[in-house]
Amino acid sequence: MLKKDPNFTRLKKLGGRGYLGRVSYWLGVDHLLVVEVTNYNERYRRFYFRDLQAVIVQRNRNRMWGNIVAGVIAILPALGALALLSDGEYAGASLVGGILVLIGIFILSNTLRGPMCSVHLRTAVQTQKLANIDRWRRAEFLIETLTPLIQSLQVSAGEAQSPNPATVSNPPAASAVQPDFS
Amino acid sequence: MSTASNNVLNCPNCGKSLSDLPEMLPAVERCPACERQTRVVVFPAFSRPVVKGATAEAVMMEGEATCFYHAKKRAQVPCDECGRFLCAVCDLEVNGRHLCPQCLETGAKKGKVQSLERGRFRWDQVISTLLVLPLISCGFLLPLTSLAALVLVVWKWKSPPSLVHNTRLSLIVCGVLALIEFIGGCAFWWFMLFGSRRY
Repeated sequence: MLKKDPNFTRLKKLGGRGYLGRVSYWLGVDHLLVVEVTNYNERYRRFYFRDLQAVIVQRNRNRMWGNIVAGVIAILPALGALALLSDGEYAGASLVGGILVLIGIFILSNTLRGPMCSVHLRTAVQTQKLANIDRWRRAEFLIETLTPLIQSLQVSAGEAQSPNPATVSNPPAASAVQPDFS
Repeated sequence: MSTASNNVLNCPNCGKSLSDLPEMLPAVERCPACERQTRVVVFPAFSRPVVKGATAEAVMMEGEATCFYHAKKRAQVPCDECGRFLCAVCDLEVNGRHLCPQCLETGAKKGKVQSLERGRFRWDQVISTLLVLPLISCGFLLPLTSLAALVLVVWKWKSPPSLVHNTRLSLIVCGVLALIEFIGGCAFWWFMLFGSRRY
């Protein structure tokens, strides 16, 4: 089990339950292991630090659409609650009000959890989307965790291999620009 | 060694290039085509040239050790698993070990090389389904399904466990539950067939 393996550390802030199953992220000595559990299968994806070329985080509109859908769903119970109140059916109105409160909690938490995004890892042969990292904060945590490990490994590997310096351009340092959400 | 490099990073949403200049990628804030807010972190491997695989050297002198798979190529290393001599093409390095293609394939199939393993089947989940589903859908099948679950617990005890869950513990719990369900199911049928005649 990975829990008992000293070579692996679970990134508890990442992963969780998604639409199709459960995902967990494990930090190995030289790679990131993504474990996806769907129904009766466990699928492993390994991203070796030496192969990773870039991390791309892209903001999407899922948070806005989620709030809009929840708002539209809330219209019907809201109208029902108003009708019940006008008829003096307070018990029924409070029951429907409970549903409205639940929808309100969803909208509030969806808003407070921050903007949604998609995260892609780029290697020499593929660009792979990471499952269940759908919030910008989580993506930043992943970048902060991975960047020093990848940097140190790739820089030391580059020095050890020392390819023909004439053909290699100066590698840019891993850096990032924080987008403005205002 | 090839010096070709693939210094283009495309937007995962629209597929257009995020920047014409690789040096400017970390400064990208939006995709120029779809205008989605984007953050790019680039690592040194991005600007490194793509290294092509080694080519095997031909045998120059008679009596020289040759590759097991290519009789005209010079042997470079022995396989760490079977000891066969391998040329540079057949030498596959996995986790610091030199393996021949056959040993690598066998290791991947049998799950010996963990880094090549792509997934595992969760038998404990199947057994859990066998135990729970009949309870809510067709209780009269309990003796059969619980017996099947018991057989699976014994049969799959040594199958590769899950990497993230305690499969052995799940199997023990499932085994105990299957035994209880089996006894309960059998008692139910016993009562239905023979017990009801007495009353």
